[in-house]
Amino acid sequence: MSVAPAEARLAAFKEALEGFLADKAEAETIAIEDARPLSGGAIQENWLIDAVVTGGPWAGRQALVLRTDAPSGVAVSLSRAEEFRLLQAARAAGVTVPEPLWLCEDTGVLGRPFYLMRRLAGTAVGRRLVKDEGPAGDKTALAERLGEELAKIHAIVPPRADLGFLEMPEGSPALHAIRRYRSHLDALGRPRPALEWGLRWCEREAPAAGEIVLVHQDFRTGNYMVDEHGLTGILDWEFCAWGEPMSDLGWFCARCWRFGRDDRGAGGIAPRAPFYQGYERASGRRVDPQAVAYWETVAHIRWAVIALQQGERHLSGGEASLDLALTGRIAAELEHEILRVTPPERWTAA
Amino acid sequence: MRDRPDGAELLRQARSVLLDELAGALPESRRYDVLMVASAMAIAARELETGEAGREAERTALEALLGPASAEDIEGALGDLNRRLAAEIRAGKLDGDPRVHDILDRDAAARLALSNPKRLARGRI
Repeated sequence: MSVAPAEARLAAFKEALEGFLADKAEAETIAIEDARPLSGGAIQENWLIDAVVTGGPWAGRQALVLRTDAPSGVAVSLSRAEEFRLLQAARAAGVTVPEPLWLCEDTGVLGRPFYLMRRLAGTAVGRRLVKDEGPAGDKTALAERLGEELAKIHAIVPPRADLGFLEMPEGSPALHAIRRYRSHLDALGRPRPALEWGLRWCEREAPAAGEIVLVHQDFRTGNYMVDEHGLTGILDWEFCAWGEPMSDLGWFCARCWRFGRDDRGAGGIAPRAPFYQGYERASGRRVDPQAVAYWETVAHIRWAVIALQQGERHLSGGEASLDLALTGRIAAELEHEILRVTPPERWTAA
Repeated sequence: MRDRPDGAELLRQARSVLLDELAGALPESRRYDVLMVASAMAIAARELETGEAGREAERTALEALLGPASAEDIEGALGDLNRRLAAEIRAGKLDGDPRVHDILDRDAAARLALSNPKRLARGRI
């Protein structure tokens, strides 16, 4: 599929967007001075918008982010409207997030639903964050803060009328996830015996269904913003669901999200201890290291399945992309890690 | 017989030109693209150098475990054997089997040596 360059696409909508913003901000006029696409989102498209607002409560310069579906988006994640509602719920629960401003579900404006949020300062780039001299100052304090933030997310529990769209696992969240990954592998159509090995181990060792909370499901280094003072916001809420709290800790700590700093268990930025301490203090819940280790194994399987799906988007001809193609090749290192943590002597359950 | 420099040698030299000469002339905003291209070229060069080595050994190991493959050619045989292996693992017939773990581990390490040898070297913690 060929799509017009992002710049050309937004230029075509500039006037309609200015009209929408002027209405929402109760402004006399709004002039979009600059709009730059951010690279990165394979499913979403993010734009940095600089707007000058004349009149009304928002008068002045506004630095915003516009988030919409990518033109070739895959329907595997939540919609932008659902994401907007999650940001509102998270903000109300005291989680540090970019402030959600206005949602537009009318496809007459941009052709696709979108929303705007206030722009955060800083960077989210994982391989920069894990460097000693990297941004965000004290990494121990950052890890502790992230533990607290995750605890606040996990304080959101069902039932919630405003979050009724979130998926609720049937029975054990672990077994629910395993069924899903198997069906994804079947849909891909190429056998992956190493992933099957990991999935079967996870099936046998699955913890019983426990407490169900809001899980972010992509809470990791690379998905939060920091500036020189520390955390500025938790990003990427598109994979949220109801689930098992320890699953988010496993995803955060998994070796595949340490950006090469294997020695630092908390997302490549710090040891696990401060992260766990922050989480325990703010949640009143004990961290179960064995459960976290279990979910780290699940994390590698999940990321491998997603990587293979990304590779398939390239392979199937729909979207020729070197980024997607190389992501497909990450599966090998994830499988290698899965086998490392599931040797025969660790098959303990009956 | 192929002419020299062969495909792998050409790719390696092309990669050196990209990283040592072209990268500096490109804007910083394209740096990630340059690294991706260099990475793809390195993987392709390693695959060309490795060729079919190891595939017959994989077939022998899998056939010892699962019985003969239904196809003669190596591609068809490995496809058939891996499909059967995946299905048997999922069905719980090979739970914790050290022979299976060994086969899978060798195979994953061989693929990792192609896609990310640095990660393989960092390996086991």
